[in-house]
Amino acid sequence: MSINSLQKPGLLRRPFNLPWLFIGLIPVLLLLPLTVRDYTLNVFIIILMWAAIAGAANVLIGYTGLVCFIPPVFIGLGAYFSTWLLLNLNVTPWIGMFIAAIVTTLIALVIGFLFFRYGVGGVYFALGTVALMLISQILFVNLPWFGKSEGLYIIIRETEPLMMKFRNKLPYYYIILAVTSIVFLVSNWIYNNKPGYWLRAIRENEAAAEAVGVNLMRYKQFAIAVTAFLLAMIGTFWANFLTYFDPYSAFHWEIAGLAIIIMVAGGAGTVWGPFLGALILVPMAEIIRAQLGSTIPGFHMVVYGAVLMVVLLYLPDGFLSIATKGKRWLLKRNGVDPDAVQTNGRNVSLSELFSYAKPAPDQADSTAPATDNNIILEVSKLTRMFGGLRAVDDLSFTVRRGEVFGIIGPNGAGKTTTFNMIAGALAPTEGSIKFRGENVTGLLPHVICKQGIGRTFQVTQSFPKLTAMETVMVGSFLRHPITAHAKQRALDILEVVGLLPKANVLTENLTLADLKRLEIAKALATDPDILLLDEVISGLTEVETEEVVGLIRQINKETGVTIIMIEHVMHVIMSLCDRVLVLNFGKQIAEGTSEEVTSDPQVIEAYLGQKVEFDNA
Amino acid sequence: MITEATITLLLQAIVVGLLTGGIYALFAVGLSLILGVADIMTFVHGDFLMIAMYLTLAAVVATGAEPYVGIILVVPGMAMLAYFSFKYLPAVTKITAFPHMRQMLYMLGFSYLLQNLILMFVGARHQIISTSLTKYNFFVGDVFVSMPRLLAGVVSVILTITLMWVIKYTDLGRIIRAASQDREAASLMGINVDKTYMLTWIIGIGSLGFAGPLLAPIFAFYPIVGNYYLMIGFMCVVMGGLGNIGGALIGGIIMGVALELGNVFLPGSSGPILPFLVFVGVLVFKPEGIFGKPIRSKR
Repeated sequence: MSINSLQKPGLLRRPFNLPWLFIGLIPVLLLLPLTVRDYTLNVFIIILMWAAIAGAANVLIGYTGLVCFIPPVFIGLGAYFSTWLLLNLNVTPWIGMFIAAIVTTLIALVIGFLFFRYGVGGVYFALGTVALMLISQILFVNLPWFGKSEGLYIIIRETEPLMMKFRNKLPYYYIILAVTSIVFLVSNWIYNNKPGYWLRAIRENEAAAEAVGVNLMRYKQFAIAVTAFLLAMIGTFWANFLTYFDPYSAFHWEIAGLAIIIMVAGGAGTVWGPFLGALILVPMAEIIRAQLGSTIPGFHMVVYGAVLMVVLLYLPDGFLSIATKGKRWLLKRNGVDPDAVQTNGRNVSLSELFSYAKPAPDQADSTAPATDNNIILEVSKLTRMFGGLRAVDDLSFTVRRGEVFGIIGPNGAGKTTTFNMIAGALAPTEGSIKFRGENVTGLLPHVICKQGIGRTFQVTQSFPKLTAMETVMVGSFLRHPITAHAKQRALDILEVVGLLPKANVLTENLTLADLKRLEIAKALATDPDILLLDEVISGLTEVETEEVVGLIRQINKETGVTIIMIEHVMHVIMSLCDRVLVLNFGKQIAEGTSEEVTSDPQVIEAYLGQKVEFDNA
Repeated sequence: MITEATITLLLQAIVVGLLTGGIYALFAVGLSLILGVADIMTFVHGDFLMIAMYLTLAAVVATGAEPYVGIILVVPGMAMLAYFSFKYLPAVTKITAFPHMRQMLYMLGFSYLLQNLILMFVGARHQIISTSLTKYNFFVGDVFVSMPRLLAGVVSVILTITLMWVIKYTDLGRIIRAASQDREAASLMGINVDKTYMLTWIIGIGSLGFAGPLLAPIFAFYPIVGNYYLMIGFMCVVMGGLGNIGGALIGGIIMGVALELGNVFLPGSSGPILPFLVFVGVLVFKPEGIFGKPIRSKR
């Protein structure tokens, strides 16, 4: 793959995000309805409505990966609240729409809080939302204020534009067109900015997202709030367009099912997918219903079901992926590498990139006494129990600013558990951790990352469906909320770790060595003061090991970022680390320079002795 | 204020609830097996039950016999349906390798397909099969006991316990449990994992061959009735803890009793809200289920 400075990555990665496509659509969408008859206009309105529903649900389901059946709840609540305001307080739906959307959003936040605080996701969340849908249905049948099972009626005697009442259908087309455009613009903005990257990171890997500073609760709440607000607006339109609805039609299982089918068929988690899905599937179903509805009822639903199955079997990324692949093929045929990366020819030095970590201390002066000034991390009496097992037992150590600190020990010695406690993935049973003099014990991983401790995982934790650049951007968004800045920083860091040529490759297609580099890049992107490296060279070949060791040394020497590393390979520890801590059965058995430690008889007995014998065998 | 009438109502609700819960349990245990062992996010279990009910109807129409006699035909019928669907239907054969979410969506499509195919051929009319067993209905004190419900509840609980016994104490059960815990390790121990998955699929769906004829005289059925049972079944399974068969039994009974208590004591038609609230409550406050292993990450 070449670095092609002429190609714009934005064009290549998201070929359908072209502004001209959108602008070109506007006159068509505005003028087309003037030329058609009522029936066709009705179909247009239904297409737009489903596009809007699927597009709004896409933020929660597609971007964030929280598959659920909640859309009918938000649509129904929006419809009920705005219509109630209209019928009882004579509030025009133009305003009621927003009041209903705000109330629905508040309800959504309560639902989100209850489910997300323990991380209920996957099938559990999906089932919970089905239950919520049925609960809403039963509630609205029985509550005294909403017309019970009769439902609510909006009576239109004459056209009253201020009350969203029209006797012909054309105005409804323009209303839903506006609503759909809002849904498109909102979901497009989210996709291309910090929230979109963070939502997709949550979908791909919650632990990894949290470790680079993503506040899981806040962003899941953000997603459910956006979806609820948009769906409630659509619900208001739906109520005023149909003029009649009841709890059974509003909180209907099929609305959720169809929203998901349309989204997945078009391409879930993409900007254009839901809109494309609606454009293809809804007219198809409408034609089938019009042609065969009277003779074979239910046939259009058979088609929906079959389409969903076929798409999931053969086109897991939806119809949109055909177009994406076609575009790539076209580019390749014209001799353009679709994975090419744009650079601006910057040659960044590490020290420039990490100037925040200055001043770099006198390197490797481990003989100097530890003072308050140069201690960056202070761990005291740290203990973690797993049931009756003391995984880490009364562990104390200090790390000085700018040094490379190694933690070694046999398998099960408690090294990774210690890391997890420093990074916040585990809460200590006892003891405290001080970072730059501040107590960070028991804080959540995203808070600790924000404070300046970055980590990698022993088993690489990646975002399979994001590219290398997007992965690093997820990290760099923590300190650089503007997309262009985050992207520039991601490209710089990718260059430093040597992954720039693969910036546009999907993470799932990277080799293990690349993934290890990406782990480091992702952690570096959060601008850490301390970098926790958990066996970053395990599983690498000798050449790859040398490269990564060189990279770690370079990062430490040139930027002054403090490094704490767990490693099994002795010569790496010997060559990199200023000081080494040796653990066995959760306890510290030695601490000192690598020479001191390797000559310690206890260490040799516990660890190195076996290792040496084994190596010579 | 607790009057004698309230106590009778309460007892009545508990008796009916226990019996209904028994049937839910039979459904839920099969579902739990398929979810926990074969690891297939089946969203069509309810639709298979619907098919079993229509098969019962067909048997009754063809022979004029009692629906319960239909068990003789419906159980092998469902087992065969399960066998052929596992063997030849891409809907089932292909998806074992998919991640759960994709399986779920895929099964959603399959469910739409099945429901609407049935709708196309038999229509949306609500059906119920009459049985002469109702003439043996009786009272215990003031509590009314319906014979069809008693039969269905008792037979379901017996079947459920038999199934649990098989899973726990027989070699077949040990094989099934081994395959469910670690696919690879089980296959290294000489277990034919694919065959085990198929067996579980057949047992799970075959048990619906009992549930269908037992339920058809009690509750009306129609092409999309499966959604309701699927929902209830999933709730029982999740409440008991995913993969915990005994838990599914208890989950079923809790759901049944909650439904009847709701029907008796909640106003209007809001009765069914109670089991759903119980379910959401469990999910929100103890998401691992009443007997399940934790699903949330403990810090």
